[in-house]
Formats: sequence, C-alpha cells, structure tokens
Amino acid sequence: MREGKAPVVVTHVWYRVGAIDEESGQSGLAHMLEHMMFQGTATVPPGEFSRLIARNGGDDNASTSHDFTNYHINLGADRLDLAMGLEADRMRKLVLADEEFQSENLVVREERRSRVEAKPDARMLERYRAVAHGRHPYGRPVIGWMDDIERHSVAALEAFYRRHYAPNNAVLVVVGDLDLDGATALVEKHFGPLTSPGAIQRRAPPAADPITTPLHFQVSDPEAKLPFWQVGYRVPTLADAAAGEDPLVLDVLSSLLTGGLSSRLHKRLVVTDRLAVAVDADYAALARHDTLFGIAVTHAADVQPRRVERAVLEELDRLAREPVGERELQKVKNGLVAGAVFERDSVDSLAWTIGRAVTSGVPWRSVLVEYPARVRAVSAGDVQRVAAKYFQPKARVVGLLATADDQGTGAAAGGEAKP
Amino acid sequence: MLLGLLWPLVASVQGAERYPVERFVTGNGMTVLLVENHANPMVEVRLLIRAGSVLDPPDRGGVASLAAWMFNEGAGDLDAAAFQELLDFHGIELSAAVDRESFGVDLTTLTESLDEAFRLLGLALQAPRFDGEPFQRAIDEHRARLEKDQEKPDVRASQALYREVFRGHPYARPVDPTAESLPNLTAADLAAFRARYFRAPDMVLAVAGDLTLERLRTLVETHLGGLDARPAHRLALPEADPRPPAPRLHIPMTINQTTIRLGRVGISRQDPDYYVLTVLNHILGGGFASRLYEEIREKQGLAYSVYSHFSPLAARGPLVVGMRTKNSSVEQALELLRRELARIAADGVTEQELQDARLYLTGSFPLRLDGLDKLAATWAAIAFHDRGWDYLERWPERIQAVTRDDLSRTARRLLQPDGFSVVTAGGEESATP
Repeated sequence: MREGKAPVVVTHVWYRVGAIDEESGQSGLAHMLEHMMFQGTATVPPGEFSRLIARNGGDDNASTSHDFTNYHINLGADRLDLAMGLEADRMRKLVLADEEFQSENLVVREERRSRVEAKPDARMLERYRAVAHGRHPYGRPVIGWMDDIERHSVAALEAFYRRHYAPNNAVLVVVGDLDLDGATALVEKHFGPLTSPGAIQRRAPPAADPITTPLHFQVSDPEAKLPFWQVGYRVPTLADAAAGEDPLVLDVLSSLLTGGLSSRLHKRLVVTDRLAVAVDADYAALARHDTLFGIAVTHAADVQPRRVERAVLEELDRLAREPVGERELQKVKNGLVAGAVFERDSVDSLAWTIGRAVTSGVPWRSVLVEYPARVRAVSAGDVQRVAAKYFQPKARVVGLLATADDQGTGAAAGGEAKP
Repeated sequence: MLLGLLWPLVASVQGAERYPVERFVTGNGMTVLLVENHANPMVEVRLLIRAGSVLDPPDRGGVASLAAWMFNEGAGDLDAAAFQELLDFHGIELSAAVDRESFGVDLTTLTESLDEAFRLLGLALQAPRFDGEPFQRAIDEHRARLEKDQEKPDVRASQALYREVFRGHPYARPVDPTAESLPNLTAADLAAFRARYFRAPDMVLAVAGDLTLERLRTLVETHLGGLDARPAHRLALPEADPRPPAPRLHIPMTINQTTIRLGRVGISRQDPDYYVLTVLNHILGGGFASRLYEEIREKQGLAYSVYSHFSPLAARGPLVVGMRTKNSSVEQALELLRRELARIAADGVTEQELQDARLYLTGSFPLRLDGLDKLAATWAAIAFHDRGWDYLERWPERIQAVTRDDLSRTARRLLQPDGFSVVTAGGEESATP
C-alpha cells in the first residue's frame, strides 16, 4: 500500500502460525521460534540482523499471537531492498544453533516472569483464559507455561520451522512511501527464488465444550493489593461467516460499555457507585476462532467483590432488555469511526490491521475500507439482540483475584480451577 | 478578559523545505506552531505549559498531577458528565499529564470537530470547575493507585531510585500525590495552581494535520484568547549536583523476579555534552545492538529487557541503567552491569561502535517524525525547551561531530560504576521456584 506522507516504509512478514498450532506439552514453541528468528542464518551471523537494521537507521521487532507470528522492520523509504532481503533470507535459511537456543530460552523465561509471573492481574488472567476456553488452544498462554518453555528443544523448533515457515504460509505487507512497481520487483527478486514445500496443513484445533452452566473461580494472591475481577463470554469474530455483522455489533457494545469516560460501565462503576478505579472491555474482532468478550474491573479500595459483580451483570442485562438511546448509539459509532481515521495516521498500524485481517482469514478491505460504513449500519435493535444472544447468564465465566485479606468474600463457588 | 490578538510575528523556519513548520506568537504571548498536512482528515495538538510537578508547593505534592487528572472532568457550564459526553460524541480525545517540568495536554480530533475540540480545550484551560464529586473521585482513585503501585516492582524501584539519587533536590519528589500529601490536597489548591501557572506566555501549542494557518489563528483567537498574558514567576531551580551513592537499597516482594535499577545524576539539557551522551547511551544500552543487550541478554540470557537511559532536564536529570532478572541471578547481573560501566568508563568505545551509532541516530530520524502525533510532540518540545528552530536540521551534523575522545571523556565523567546508587525490588533468592 502506498501511503506517502512520511519518507518511511514498514515491512511486515506475517506467518499463519501461532500458539494454536503447537502440540500439547510444547506451549510457547511458536513464540520461542520468533525469538530464534533473530539468531542467525547461513548468511547472517547471530546478532547481525538487528545490527544491520540499526546501521541503516531502522527499528525491528516481532510478536506472536495464537493465530499469527509477525516480523516487522521500519526503515527509511529507500531501504526496502534491505528489509526484504533479510526477511526472505530468514524465511527458509534459519540456523538453529544450540548455543544461541540455550541463552535465548533463558531470555524467554525472564520474559515470562516479567509479563506474567510478577504481575498478579496477569497471573489471574492466564488462568482465566485456560478456564474460559476449555480444550481450545486459545486457552493456552502464547508465551507458554514455564515447564513447557523449559522443555523446548532445537529439534522441536527445527520441526516447527520446517513445517510452517515458507512463502505459501506467509503474507508480506509493505506500507509506506513506495513505488508499487519497484516494490513488486523487489518482492520477485527476494521471495521469488524461494521454494515452498507442499501445501501446509493446519490441523483444526479441538472445539471448546460449550459452556452451559456459569463457571466461577477465585485465586487469592499475597502480592495483590486490590481485587481484580473479570467476566467473559465466548463470542464469534469476523472470521465466522455465520456470525454475519455480530462482530461489528460486539465492537459497538465494547465501546458502549467502556469506551471513554462517558461509557456506561465507567459511569456506573467508577463515577456513580464508586466501586472501581478502572473498567475495561476486551474484544478482538480479528481472530480465526471464537474468542472472549471480557470485562475486567480493578476494584476501588475496600469494596466487596460481590457488589462489583452485581453492578456489571445488571448493566449487561439492561442492554438485553432496553434499546440503547439514539444519541448514545450515535456517540459510540462516532468514536469508532474517528478511531479508524486516527489509526490511518500511522503506516505501522495500517500494516497491522491488514496483516491481522489476512491472518484471521478476513479480507482486509472489509475491515480497513468498509469498517466505517458497517459500524454506521448497526441499529439499536442489533445491539439489544446481540447482547441477549451472547451475554447469557448460563454462559458466563467469572474470575476473581482476591487480596490476601479478602479471601472468601468473593463470588467464587467452585474453588480454584486448574489451568 | 479577552485580549485582542495581534500577529506581530509570523515566520517560517530555517530549513523549511526539510522540516516545514509555521509559527506565530499570539497577542497574549503563546507560541503556536503548525505542521500542515492534509493527507488524513484529522488534527493532533500538543500543548506544553510551564507547570510541572517541581512547582507543587512543598506541602502539596501532587497538585499538578491531580490538576492534570481533572483536566477532562468538567469546565464552564459543563459538569464532568456533560463535558465527557461531548468529547465522546465528537470522537475527540483530550487528556493531560504532568512530568517534573511540564503540564502536557494531548488533543486528537477529526477535522470536522475542530471547533468543538478547541472550545473544550479552551474551557478546560480557562474555566475548569474542579467540582466536589470528581475531586473526591480523584482522591479515591489516587489512593487506590498508590495501593496498586505496591504490586509493581518497576514503579517501586524507580520511585526509590529518584529519592536516593536526588535526595534534597526537588527532583526527588514524586510527580504523583503520595500517601502523605494526598490528605492535604483540596480543590482550591488545584484552582490556585491553575490560576498561577496557566499563562499564555508559558505555553507552547504545537499543531499538526489537516488545517491551515488561517484556521488555526481563528481557533486560537476564539478559544484561547482569554488566557492571562502575564508570565508566571519562574522558579529558580537549585543545581542537582551528583550525590555520593547511597547504600544499596532492597525492596522485598514475594515474586520470582527482581527489578534492578542503577542511577546517578546525569546532565542538564544545556550541557555541552548532550549529543555526546546521546551517542554514548546508545552504545551502552540503547536498543538491540547495544553493549548491555549483547552482554546481559544475548550472551548470558539474564534478562528480557536491559537498557540505559538518560533524561536531561533544566537541572541535571537522571541517568539510569535497568533490567529484571530471576532472583537467584541478581548478584551476577549486578556484577556484569558494573563491569560494563567500568569497561566503557576506562576504555571508551571502538571506532566501529561510534560509526554504527552515528548511522542509527542520524538514519532513524524519519521514523521519529512519521506521524502527526510525533510531529506535534517533537515541535512542542523543541519550542518549549528552546532547542532552536534549526534543531532538526542540525541534528545529523551534531551527531556526526561527536568523537571517540568526547565519548571517552564523558564516559569517565558519568559512567564510573562507583558513582551509581543501586535499588532492587523483588523476591529473595529462596523464593525462586
């Protein structure tokens, strides 16, 4: 995509592989491989990749999700050749050496400690997702369980790399101040000579068992200073053709509930009832499989978790019972449409949206180009119908992180759940 | 008070073909900058006010921070709920935050809502209500945040480090309210702070995006023309001299990782070695090709993130080295960090390292300016800190001019390991699983 307002170009390579493609007992392998992709090829020695980018005034990084693994390089617009050359090189010629693997595996353990283990909220949410997704691999942490990370091996990485890293499993997204013909020629030059193995088979992950009675769990944590609570429901994404426009309506619901200081849950929990200091809805419409619509609440000091739960569930119930008012719906749509315009200011976020759509199996134009019109088309009736359809009492999953002195005051019924 | 605005000074800036910007000073003394760009129907605004937390009265720590928190909690005829509903209805993002030196406002809006956005900005600056309900909520939320911060090893280590490194200097005080200062704060304190420091000559307004200079003049005249034209009294900040390092401090927590922070007094913004330290810091711990990254992460696998960082302020600001590692590796990591500081202080850097740093620091410039938000923030900072209108233009030559001798001299001056205070926050070794 040509977007020429700044003399930069971003090069994203997206592999259609992520944590859901890992074997059981190998959690974290896709992410471990992402780290190893910076550790050298037949032509670029370990450590040289980022050094080359830096010498050319560029920044690079990578990330792994359940659905995809993303590599990106941001450079001045005249350096596209370098970015494509480096990405093509490591697509098929990675060298997985034991020495580099041993130290990088320690790095990933530190990353897990930083991201999850040293954070009470993150520890709770990790277990929450395991409970809420059941057998589906979305319940597995992308970074991996620590004991699985400790069991990773060069042999396992090698097999995973050979199976999943090839042109026929990759999407190249280039956005910036580029000449489209020149960029196409560079793609041919660098990626054209690469060979693909046979068709890459992605196994369908096991379906999660439907939730027919509410799931509750509670953990208490001596490091937690304020209770943290989450409710969630399984919902479809844009990848699910049978869901129609429901994912757009869920975006509207997410914004209605917690988008901005005038949103319903902020007003109810933070302003009126003074039960919480922060409330956030989390829903990503771009994912391959059904995901969670989650609402997370950081409690105010000295608040009974039961009161938070009651207030949130009342508000969800009200959405199903009463149609949303005209101005409120208009407000939410305006915010979502404005957000889409703001996002276009960054070439990097354009590349992100395109890549996330494509790796979720969603045509990118249907998101990037058609999103505003689709949001505008959502009606009050849609909002009411979709809230009633997905926010069902029997389908909810509730998790509570209690502080050490708050034990037993929560809504937990089932005790601790095993991840 | 509505001052008639004159436009005595309109100038385009030297080097305008590479970094185009237009600027003027309003009749009441505000510096206004515009980077015009019509590619996307939106506008980014960055406003900096000389009202940072160093201006908090001694017994009112956190007053600037609390005023920023309340920036979108009601103004003029609009109570908090009405104000916020209007922002959200128009898809306008408006918020404020303070650091030690400035009160910063960020405004993002569609072009079609520009008038409403500037109206709400003007109200928030000139007629904030500081009503009892949102004020009490601000107090309660800060009390909860102080609790929540106890969960965060990085926050705890960083606050302790500032106390150690700047003890006795205003920079030692936290930006946010503390458990001690919070009960002293009143809505009247916020109003007094605003009245005293929100003066047009103490403000820089940088705007980037889809509007013309003419339109911007009208918006500023209409909505910000009533700001007080008298500059506030400037605080004479004491020099932050390097203190001898404090004894090592450990903050015990029951987690399986430890945050390590080494810190000392670094340099001021006016220091002639500013560009030298920019290069030196990049080589030591600035990014994926730095010495600390190579030695601590790549070779030893001791950390996911390890870095060095310096913040030049009006007086000498902090110079920090940081990382996190498992509890059982803390001593090894500290030894390695000290060894790397000692090595660069004693031996300086190689010619290759200097070349690589120059290439990155000059070549990455386009990436720092590739969005309207970055343009507005960069120009606001240049004007606010009197960096000179040719700052962007001259950056490459100033980086190129740094020599290995400069780097050796500055490393000897600032990177001796004995000059650093050490703070750790985390678990005991036995707590490591």
